[in-house]
Amino acid sequence: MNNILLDVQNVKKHFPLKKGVFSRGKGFVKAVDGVSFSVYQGETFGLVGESGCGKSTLSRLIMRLIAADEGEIRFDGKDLLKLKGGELRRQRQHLQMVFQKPFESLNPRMTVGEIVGAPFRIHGKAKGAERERRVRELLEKVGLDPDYVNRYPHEFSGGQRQRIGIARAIALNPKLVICDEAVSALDVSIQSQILNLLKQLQREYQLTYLFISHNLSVVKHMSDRIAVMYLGKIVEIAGADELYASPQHPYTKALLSAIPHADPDAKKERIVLTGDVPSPVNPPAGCRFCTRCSEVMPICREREPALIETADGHAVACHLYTKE
Amino acid sequence: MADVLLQIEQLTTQFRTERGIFPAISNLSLTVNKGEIVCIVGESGSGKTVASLSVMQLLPPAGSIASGEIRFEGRNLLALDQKELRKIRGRSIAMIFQDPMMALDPVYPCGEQIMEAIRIHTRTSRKEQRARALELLEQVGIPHPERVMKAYPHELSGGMCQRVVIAMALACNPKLLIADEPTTALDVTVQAQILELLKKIRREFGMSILMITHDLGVVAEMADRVAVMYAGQVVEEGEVRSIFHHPRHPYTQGLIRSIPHLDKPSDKLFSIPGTVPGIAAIPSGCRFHPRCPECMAICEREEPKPVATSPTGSVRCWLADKPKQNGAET
Amino acid sequence: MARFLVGKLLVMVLQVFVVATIVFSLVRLMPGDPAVLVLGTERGADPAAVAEMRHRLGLDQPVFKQFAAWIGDFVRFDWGESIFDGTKVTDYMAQRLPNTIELAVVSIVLAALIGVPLGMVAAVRRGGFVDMLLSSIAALGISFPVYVLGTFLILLFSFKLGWLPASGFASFSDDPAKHIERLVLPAFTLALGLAAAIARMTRSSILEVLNKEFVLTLRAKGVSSAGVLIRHVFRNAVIPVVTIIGLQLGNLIGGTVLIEYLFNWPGMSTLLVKAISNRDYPLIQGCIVVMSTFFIVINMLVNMLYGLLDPRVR
Repeated sequence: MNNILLDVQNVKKHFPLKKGVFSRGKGFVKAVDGVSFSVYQGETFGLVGESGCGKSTLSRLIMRLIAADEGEIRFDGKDLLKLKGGELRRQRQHLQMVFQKPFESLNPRMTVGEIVGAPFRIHGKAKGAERERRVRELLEKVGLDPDYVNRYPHEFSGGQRQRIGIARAIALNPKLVICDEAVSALDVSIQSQILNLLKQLQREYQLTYLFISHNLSVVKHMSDRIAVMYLGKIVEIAGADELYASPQHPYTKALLSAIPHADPDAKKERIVLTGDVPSPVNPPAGCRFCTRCSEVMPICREREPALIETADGHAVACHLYTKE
Repeated sequence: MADVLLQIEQLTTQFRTERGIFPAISNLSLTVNKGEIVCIVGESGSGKTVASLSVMQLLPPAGSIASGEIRFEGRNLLALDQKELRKIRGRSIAMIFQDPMMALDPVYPCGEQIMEAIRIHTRTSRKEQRARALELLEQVGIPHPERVMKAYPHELSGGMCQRVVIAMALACNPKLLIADEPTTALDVTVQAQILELLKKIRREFGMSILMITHDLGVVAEMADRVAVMYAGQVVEEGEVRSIFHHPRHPYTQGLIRSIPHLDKPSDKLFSIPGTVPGIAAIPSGCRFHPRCPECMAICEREEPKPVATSPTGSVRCWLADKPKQNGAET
Repeated sequence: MARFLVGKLLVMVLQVFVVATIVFSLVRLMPGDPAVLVLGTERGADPAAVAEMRHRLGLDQPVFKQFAAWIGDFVRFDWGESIFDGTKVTDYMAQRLPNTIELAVVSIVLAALIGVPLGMVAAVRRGGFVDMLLSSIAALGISFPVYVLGTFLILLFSFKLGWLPASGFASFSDDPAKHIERLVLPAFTLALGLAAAIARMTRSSILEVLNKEFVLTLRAKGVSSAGVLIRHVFRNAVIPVVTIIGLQLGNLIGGTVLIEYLFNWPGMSTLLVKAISNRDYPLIQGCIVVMSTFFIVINMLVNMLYGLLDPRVR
């Protein structure tokens, strides 16, 4: 059994809403409201959800780009929220991120060589000729011509830029890589190239991935285990195959049924949710999903269900299962 | 017998760039029949958006139609002057775009914008316009139409905005709706709602839909017929089942194989090597030949013309003249 | 809505108060004895004169008492007298302020009337004659020193053509025609420079809006080009332009000194300069507070106008 690399315990992040003449606080956007999960070394943990569910905020919390209001984030045994300054910076080598927008996540004024070489420079790991050599090696690893070191990002296509971003992320051999919608902005055929690259690099470098996406098919392809988020909370965690084969939470079922299948003959019972996602400013009392759930019960509007394990490795936060 | 509503014939649209004038679509031919949903599927750079914009001549200043015909209900749209064209836009043919929040004017309430669509094409009083706008909002499934009438676009969610945009498009009962990636910017559960709405509209009003998308799942779900585009041309066309179950063009085959399937576990995804060529660097002969696993000598020299594979299907490929290796086609 | 306005008003009052406090402190924070500075090196050598001046300026009181007294006077509009000629400061304000406001407002209105249509045409007919003209002269208009332009206009319209008087001032109540005659050149001098900036801003704002996706939706709806431009593009593009115009108006209240000198226009700027050269502290204070207040008020109005025009901001 592998050890736990990333342990997130009851993390909360509430953004204060400022309204009124003198910017008085007027409530909070409860972007992440008590999220707990663990990622084992070497696995790919998928995080799936729609806009407003908090997955992007969560990724930034883990990366310590923003500070959590409550909770613990233990990375390799150390609580990231308690680290400061130099110590935190040293941890950052081991925790990297690949971003969503290939056209915006690279500094347009830096050459490819400078971008991929930046981690070496920042952490003082290599200089001069040695750094150059490793940069070229990395470019080759991600499928780019090493002679491109002196080109600028705008000279590359979306897929190629994403490769550059990946090269930068793995430069210092990190332990955990967070892929935040890393392929969402790419065409289907490029997507498959990048996903294959990510899998290949995982094998070579023994990487652990936290794979965040709104696209369930892609997440299922990449992940060993998947957590489904809704309005700042995790509603279900299960192994990838298990989640697809027997989803338990009504939201997960709706999400799965909403995906259009690339098969014209696939007849399915589609659960179409009514209404829009409620705003994270005024989440419903009780279960967050109660306003749209087809199987809502009175207790759902009063009490929030806890995340409970229903089968080996399968946990759901739903009153339908807490009764049993 | 199908009634032809829109007939695009050998259309070529070109763009003026710093490096010269290049065609974005070449000799494109496409048909949409009454009550039918046709999906144009392709990746970025395929020219699908240019094709959709060409129909109503909504191209940006750098673009212009070089040759071809676009016949709508028998009339050649390219021969119309601006005034006549404006009578068609928003009335007989309507168009909706990808990002619903950006598609609406931020300084006017939604109701006003729907009423504007009614006002410019009909002689009705403001009261009648308002009533019709409310009716439209109800038809597209908006729960509190009166509230949405007064709301500004930035106050609504993406899904709601797209419903407003659809309501606006339906204002004058168009016969054809052109939808350019209408659900790409939306969450998957909202996408499901919008797709259901579009299907409902087709059922209730007999409206035809020309949908542009890159998502094969959406195609499988919505289309009656499909046109696959690559580098400015239709490389394969046909009924949705034959496209998915018996794709003839290697590009179509590659696309279908690239999709991660929920029920088929795989470690390595198939991917088409290489990238889509830019409009200034179109390969000679068959445009797909540098990336094609079955490239032959003739593919590098000569551009294949569309060959009919069935009464409703065609493919642009030199392989079409040869019988398939594994198994005969019916 | 009412709460929104009252709130803004309170903020404004606070800002004016802060300005007044700073002005109060400035005089007392400057190096050297203010009394000596006022008297000058000659008379300042005499300790008796210094003591007397200090008493006159209230400097012999403890600071807090001075401040309290100052605030008390300030609120009651008792701003003291000019050390130089004894005239009440408020009288000076009443005399000069309307002239400055008039010049500023007329200049801005002219600038907007010239600049906005120019910018619109340049944007809509991009690459056309007006656009080229605008690009070339805009830089000129913005960077041309205002007194050089003014002098040039005087040379042309007063001396060469004799159409307008070179300078001078006639009060409106005395002789309206003469007043307006003397307003034309200074207003136009200011307006031309501002018009260039406004035109550029209008042009780029319109071009930006034209690129937005909703314009494509409008065309797809069948709206005519004129309809798109007038009902939608302009309405969206005008928002940043209005902001610029408002801010420039604020600047003009205090920044017209060269024009006032050149055309002998009796406004606040010349008053302030004279006060400074005379080290006339009460007058200096009065001028600064008034000019700052105007700037604050105009800023606030621009803010509110912005909220009115752009529903996203509300």
